[in-house]
Amino acid sequence: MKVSLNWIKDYINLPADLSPEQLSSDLTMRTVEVEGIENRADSLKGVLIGTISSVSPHPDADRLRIVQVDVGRPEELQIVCGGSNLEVGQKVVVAVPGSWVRWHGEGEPVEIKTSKLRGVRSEGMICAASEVSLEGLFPAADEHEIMDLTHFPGAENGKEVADVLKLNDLILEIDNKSMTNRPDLWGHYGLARELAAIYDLPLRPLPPFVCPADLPETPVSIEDPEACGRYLATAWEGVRAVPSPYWMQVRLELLGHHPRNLLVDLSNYVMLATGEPNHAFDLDSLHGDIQVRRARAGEKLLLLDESELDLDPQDLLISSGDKAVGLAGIMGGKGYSIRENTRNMLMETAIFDPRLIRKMSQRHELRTDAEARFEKGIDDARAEQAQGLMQSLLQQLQPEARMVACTDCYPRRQEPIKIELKRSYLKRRLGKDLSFEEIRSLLEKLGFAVEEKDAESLKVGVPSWRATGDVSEAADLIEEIARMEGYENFKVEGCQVQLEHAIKAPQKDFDRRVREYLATRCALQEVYTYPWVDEAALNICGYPDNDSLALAAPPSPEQKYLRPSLLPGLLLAAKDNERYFDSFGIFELSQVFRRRKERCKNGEALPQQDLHLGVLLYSSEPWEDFRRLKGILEALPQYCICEALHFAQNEKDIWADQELWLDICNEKGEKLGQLAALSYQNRCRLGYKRGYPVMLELNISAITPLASRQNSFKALPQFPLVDIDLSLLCREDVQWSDFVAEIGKRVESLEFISEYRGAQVAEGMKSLAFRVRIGKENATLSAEEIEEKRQSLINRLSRKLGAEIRS
Amino acid sequence: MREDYEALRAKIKNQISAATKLEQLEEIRQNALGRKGELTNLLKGLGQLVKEERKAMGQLANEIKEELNADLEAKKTELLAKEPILKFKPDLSLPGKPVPSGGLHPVTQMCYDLNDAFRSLNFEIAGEDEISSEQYVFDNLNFPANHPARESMDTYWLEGEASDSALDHLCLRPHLTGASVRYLQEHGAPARFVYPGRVYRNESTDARHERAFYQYEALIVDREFPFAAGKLLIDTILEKVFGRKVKTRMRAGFFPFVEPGFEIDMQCQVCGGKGCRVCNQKGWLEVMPGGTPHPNVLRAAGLDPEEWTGFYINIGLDRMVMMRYGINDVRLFHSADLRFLQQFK
Repeated sequence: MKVSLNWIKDYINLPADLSPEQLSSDLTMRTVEVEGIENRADSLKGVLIGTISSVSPHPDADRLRIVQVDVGRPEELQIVCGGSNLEVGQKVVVAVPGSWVRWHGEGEPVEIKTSKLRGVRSEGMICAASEVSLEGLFPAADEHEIMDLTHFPGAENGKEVADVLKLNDLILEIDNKSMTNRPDLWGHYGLARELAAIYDLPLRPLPPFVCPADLPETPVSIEDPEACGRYLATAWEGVRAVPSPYWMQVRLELLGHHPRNLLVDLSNYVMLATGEPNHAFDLDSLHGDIQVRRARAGEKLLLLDESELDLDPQDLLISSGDKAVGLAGIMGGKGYSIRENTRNMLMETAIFDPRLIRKMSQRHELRTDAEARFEKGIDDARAEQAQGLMQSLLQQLQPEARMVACTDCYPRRQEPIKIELKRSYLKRRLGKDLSFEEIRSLLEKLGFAVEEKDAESLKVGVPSWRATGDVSEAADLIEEIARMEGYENFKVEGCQVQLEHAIKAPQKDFDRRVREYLATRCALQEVYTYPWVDEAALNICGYPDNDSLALAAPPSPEQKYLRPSLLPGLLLAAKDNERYFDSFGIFELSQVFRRRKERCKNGEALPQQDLHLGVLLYSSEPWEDFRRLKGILEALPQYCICEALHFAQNEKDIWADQELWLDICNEKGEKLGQLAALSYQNRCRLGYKRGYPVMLELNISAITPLASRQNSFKALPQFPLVDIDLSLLCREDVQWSDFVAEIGKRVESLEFISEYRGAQVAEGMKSLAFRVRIGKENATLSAEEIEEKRQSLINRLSRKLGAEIRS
Repeated sequence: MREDYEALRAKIKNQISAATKLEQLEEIRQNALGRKGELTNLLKGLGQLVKEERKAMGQLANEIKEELNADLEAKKTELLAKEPILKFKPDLSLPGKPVPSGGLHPVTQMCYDLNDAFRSLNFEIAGEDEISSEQYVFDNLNFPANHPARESMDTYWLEGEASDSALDHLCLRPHLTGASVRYLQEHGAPARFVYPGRVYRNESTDARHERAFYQYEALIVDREFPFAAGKLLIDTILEKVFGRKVKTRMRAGFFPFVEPGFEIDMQCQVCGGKGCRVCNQKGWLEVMPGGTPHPNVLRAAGLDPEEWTGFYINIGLDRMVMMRYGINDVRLFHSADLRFLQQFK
C-alpha cells in the first residue's frame, strides 16, 4: 500500500527533526515493513516551467517546429518539438539537459541531452503529460499534445514543475503482507494513529458524522445480520460530478488512483483516509429501497468493469427494487454508479463479514481495493467515520449539496473485548518488569483502555479498530507492549539447558548416515524430485493402482498422482541428464505414499508414508553398474550401521529386465526392495538414447538401524597367510555361489577377481579368476603344503563343478 | 711397484669421481677391490717382495683400499642424495587425479549444518510425514475456520471422499508447524527440537517461487523463556552457519502461529548493511519469522498457555542456500540437473 506523508501530516505533527529514513525504520521495527520511499519530485528534477517566445518551421521536417523557450535563464533554449498545440506565449513543461523523461510515455526513463534533430540543435524537450508521467492529472487529447500550464497558478519561468504542481510528497510503500492482520492500518488515519503512538503525538480527530434528527430514512433491509452487521446510507441531493479540487487530485494521483470527478474521487479519498471502502450510487437509477441479500440461482450482475457475473446463491448483493445493483463489498453494478450527469447520490458505508467477502472474491476472481480491506475485518465505527469525512468534505467542496435522507441499519453489533492481564504473566513473558504506569502509558497510546483490577492484574479494553480478530487475548497484549517498548530494548540473555537425557534420533541418524555413505563413499549425487510424477513414467513402474493417492488440483493434469515409488522420478531425472553426461549415479531419499485402511491412533486418516531410497546408475555398461549397486548394498549395513541385507530372486518388479534383477530382503527374507536394470523395452519407451539405467529401491523405514556397530575384533594371524590366484574354465550355468558353496569354508577367504568370455574361451563356457587365502593356525605353510592345498581345491572344483584350469 | 700402486689409486679415484650412477660405483668397486679386482691382483704380487718392502707395500695397499672405500662411500652418499624416483622428467603442471564425484544436495548440506548447530545447543531432531490432515495443518494452529490464511497457503489437497472431519481431509503439508504439535502431544514439555522438511504450496513458479521447498523450524517450550533469549539463540545459530558473527534485528511481524511475532532480519552479507541490489537497498535481509508460540498452538498440544511459553523460528532453507552461494533461481533445487548439483560436492 502506498501512503502519502503529506496526508499523514493532516492528522499529526511529526517531529521537525524526524527524517523519512528514521520514520521508515521506526515503522518497520514497531509495526509494518516500509519497503521504500519515493518522491515524485525526484524523478522530475530539472523539469522546468518555460514560456514559448517563438515557433518557426523546421527546414527538413514538416511535423517538427523550432521553438525558443524562456526558462528563466539569461539565454533562451532552442528546442525542436513535434507538439501539435504549440503557441507563442504558452507555458510549457521543459525537460532541460540532465533531466529524465519517459520517451513517448513508454519504457524506462531516459536522460535528456543536447542533440541535433534533423540537423537542428535542440537543447531539451517540451513534454507531453505522459512523458513526465502526469497524464493522470493532465489528460491529453492526443499523443502529440504537449502539456499546457498557461493558466496554472504560480507557473513562473524556471520553476521546477514538481514544485509548481505541488508534487513534492514522500510516498511510503508498505509491504501489504506485513499488515494482513492489521485492518486498522489500511488507511491514512489508522497509520497516523500508529505513528502518533510511536512518537507520542496528539492525533487530530476526524470530523464527526452528524445526521440531522428530522431527516427521513432511506428504506434499508438486511436479510442476514451475520453477513452484513451494519449498513449506513446517506442520500444527497444537488451533487455534481465536476472535477475535484487540484489538491485532492494530486493526493489520489500520487497514490495511484487517477482522478475522475468529485463524486468518484471523494469515494476513493474517503477510503484511502479511513480505510473504509464505500460505494456511491446514482440515486436516481435506484428503485427506492435497498436490500442486502443473497443472490438467487440464475441471477446475473453486470459490474462497473463491464464483466457479467453468474451469481452464486452464496453471493451477497446490494439490491434495489429487487434488482441487483452491486456485489457487496467488492464492486458496484454498471448503470447504478456515479455518472457524469448524476445529481443525486446514495453513499453506502457498510460492515460485511470478512470471510464472506473473501469467498466471493475468490469465487469470481475479483480483487479490488474494497475487497482487500473488507476481507481483513473492519470495525463498526469505521462506517460512521467514513460518512463523517464525506459529509465534511462535501460541505466544504460542494456546499450546495444537501443530505436528504439517512439510515443506520445496524442489526449486529461488534462484541467489545476486555482482557485480563496479570503482571506476573507479563513479567515472565517479557523477561522485564514494567510498572502499571508504564504498561498503561504504552497501551493507552495505542487506544487501549487500561483499568487496574487489583494489585496483581489489569483489565484492558481493546479499541474497536483492533477488535476485529487482531487482539483477543493476553498474549496479543504482550506483543503490543513489547513492540512499543521496542524489541531492540530488551536485554539479550542466554537460556538455561537442563541435561536430562541423551538426545536420540536413531531413524534420523540412520537417514543421514545413508545419505552421507552414498554421497561420499559411493560417489553418488543426491537429487530432489517432486512428489507428483508424470503418469507415463508411473505406468512403467506399474502405477497408478488402487492404493495410489492423487492431488485434487495437481500442477498439471498428467502429474496427478503422488509417488508410490521414487523410481519414476529418478528415471525422468536421468533422462534429462543423459544429454550432458556419459555416466552418472544419482540417489534420492524421500517419502512415498500408499493408501492405508487403518486410521492413526489420533484418528487421522493418514496414508502409509514410508521413507524410500532410490538409486540410479547410468552408463553404457549395465552389468558393471548392476554389480556396483550390489556392492553398495552389500557394504551399506556395515557403513550405515543397520541389520544385514540379503538377496534373492522371488518376485520381479514390472519395470525390471528379465535376467538382471534381485530382490533385496532382510534376515527374515521379507522383501525390502529391488535391484535391477530397467528392461530394454522400458528403456525404449522412455527414449533413452545411449546408456542403460540400473536402479534400486529400498524401503528405509523397514530397516532397523542398530544402536551401535556390532562387528567384533578378529585376532591377527600368528603365521603368514598365503594368497593363491586361480583361473578356471567352467560352463556358463555354474555360478559363483557354487564356488563359494564348494570351497568357501575350506579357505580363510575367497575373493572374486574377474570373469571372462570371448577369444580362447569356447561358446557356452566362461573363465573365472579368483583368489583364495590359506594358512595354518600354528605354523607357516611349507611350499609342499601350499601346492597340495592348491591341487586339492582344483580337484574338488573339477569333480563337483566340472571346472578346469585354463591351459 | 709403488708407481703401479699410485697409478692404480689415481685411476680408480678418477673413475669414482666421474661416476654418475649408483650402479657404476658397484662396478668400479668390483673392478678395483673385488676378488678379481686390479688392486687384488697387485696384492698377489706381494709374495715376491722382500719382507720389509712387502710390509711397506702391504701398508700402502691397505691405505689405498681404505681410501677408495671411503671415496666410494662418499660418492654413494652423494649420488643417493641426487637419485630421482622417476626415470623421466615429470610435468608438475598436470592436474591431480579427480576424486570420485558425488555429493549431498546443497539443501541437505545446509540442513545438516543447522542440525549440527542446534544439536550443540541440545535440540532434538524430529520430523513428520509430508502428508498431513487439515486438523494438524490448520485447525490446531490458530487458523480459525475460513480464515484467509488457510487459503493464502494455497494448499495441495488430496483427492478423497467428502467428509466433515478435518482428520480425513488430507493435504501435502503447506508448512511444518503441524509437526510441532504432534511432537508436543507425544513428548510433552519442556521440549526443544527442530523439525526440518519439505513443504508444498499450490502456486505458480518463477525464479523466487517454488511449489516444493524446504523449511527448518525450531521450537523451545519451557516455563520461562523470554523472547530476548531467542535473539541470542538466533545469533548463535547464524554465526555457526555463516562462520562469523552476523548482525540481526527483531522487528514486529505477524504469523498466525505466534504471539508476539517477529520478523528476524540479518544484515546483508553482500554489502555489509550499506544497501545493495541483493537486499533491495535496505541493508537487511529477512531470514526468518519467529516468536512465542501462540496460546492456541500450545492448547492444541495439550499444554496450558498460562504455564508454558517458548520460542519458535522458521528458517527458509532454500533461501539460506541461495544466499550462501548466490543462486538466483529456486527452481534449480528440484531440477535434478547434475550440472547444477555437482557444483556443491
